[in-house]
Amino acid sequence: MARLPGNITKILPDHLRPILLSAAERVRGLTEIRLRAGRPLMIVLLRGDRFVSPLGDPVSDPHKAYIVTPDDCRSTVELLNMGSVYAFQEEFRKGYITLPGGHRVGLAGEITCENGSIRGLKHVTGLNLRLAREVKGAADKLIPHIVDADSHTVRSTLVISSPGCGKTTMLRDIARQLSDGVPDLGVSGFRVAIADERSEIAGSFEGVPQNEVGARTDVLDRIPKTRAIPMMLRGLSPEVLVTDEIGDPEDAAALFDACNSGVSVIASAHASTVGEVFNRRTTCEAVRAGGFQIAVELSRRCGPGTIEAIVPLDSYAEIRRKQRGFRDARVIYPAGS
Amino acid sequence: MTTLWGAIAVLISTTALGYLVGDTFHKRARNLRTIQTGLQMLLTQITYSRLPLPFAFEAVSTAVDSPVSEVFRNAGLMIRRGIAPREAWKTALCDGLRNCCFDSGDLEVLRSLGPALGVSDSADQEKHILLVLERLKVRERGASASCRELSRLWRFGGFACGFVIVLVLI
Repeated sequence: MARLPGNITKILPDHLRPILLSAAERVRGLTEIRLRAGRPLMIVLLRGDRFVSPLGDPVSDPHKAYIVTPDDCRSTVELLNMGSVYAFQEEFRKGYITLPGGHRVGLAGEITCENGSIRGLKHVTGLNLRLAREVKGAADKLIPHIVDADSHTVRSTLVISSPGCGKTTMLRDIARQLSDGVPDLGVSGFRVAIADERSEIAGSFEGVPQNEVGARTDVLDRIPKTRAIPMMLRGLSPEVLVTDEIGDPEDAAALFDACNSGVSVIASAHASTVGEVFNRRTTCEAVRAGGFQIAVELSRRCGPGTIEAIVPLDSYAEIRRKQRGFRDARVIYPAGS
Repeated sequence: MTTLWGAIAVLISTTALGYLVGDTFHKRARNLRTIQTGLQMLLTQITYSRLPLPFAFEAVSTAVDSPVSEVFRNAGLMIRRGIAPREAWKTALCDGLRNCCFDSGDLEVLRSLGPALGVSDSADQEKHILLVLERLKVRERGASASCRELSRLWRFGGFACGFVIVLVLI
């Protein structure tokens, strides 16, 4: 049974709050709340999803569910931005807003464009309230593959998965473990710097991380990683740099700087397999520039954060070889987990 | 003897009343200057710091003098409670009316900012606030010019009225 985090409840309109509080108490593993105007109120769980009745009961029949109104969406957005559209201009342009604690609200609706570029959202008619979850120990199986205890170095690692498979949770725990050190491997802590563009890894509020990210970790919050990485390299002298969701064309140059400054990079990208990463030109360039040594594929097969494969990406030649016959070349670890 | 004390009491009362009314003209000009300073700070918080309205209002309220600071503080608190900025600003102005010396024209100018507060991007917010500032500047100039004459008139008028009352009663 779960309780809704305070940062989520305070952005819910008055009449929706008791419904969702009641629903959250009656289910396990709540990960998302979906508000879609004119359609049933829905909650997404670790396994499957449910609709929510007007009394707050989780139901399977959409006809018994509370129907979300456009006003519900509008009120939620007003509470979300505290009546201050100008303060969230950039977030509206990007299509999501991050709340204190690292929770993310994805926005859908009518987009306004100007000269071909997105200016903002005019009518928000869909919201996805994604609950951030801190899972300490999520990276336990991964750490021995990332850390080289003999040379006291960290292998540059790319964590890949489809949305909602635990990339950010994994990155956060990797950062925490690398920062605090891994006594089991006889490794002391590394200086870690997190470029937290969306405030999801550290979940910072007013610059202070709300999630545990380790004793030797510095966080640059809500700044594009292309700007954050050079700042961190110059000012914070990190040994490990952690950032999420690479794939923009500009990311390549920043990652190239990092990997050629003797810094290990731990990053994530949207793709279900390494092959997909290299099929997309932008992510392919960023991944090549980042000098990643291993890639980790995650899935939700046994719940979010299931490690499907750890793939060595030692050289560009090998990457190309794997692009051609990737399935044959990959190393599955741990088998069947 | 009693008549003398009564005359002095009437004279002091009417003079004090005249001073009190005359002072409201000074207060109005002072309040108009203070709220302009507050709105200029709000503009900076919106365009530069991009602070959401509750935080921006709170920051302004700590920097400007009372009783104008109460208007900003109350507006911020109401928005934080989930009240729309338009309503919060309107209510805060109505509540502030008790302690500030704005006239109905000043209030109309200030109220005109309400519907625009927070509903658009920072460039648009800037335009709205600058427009209100410009209108307030004109009103403040008028208030400053008239306050000297009017306050002197009221102060003298208070004394003169008292004097006349004393003469009539004696």
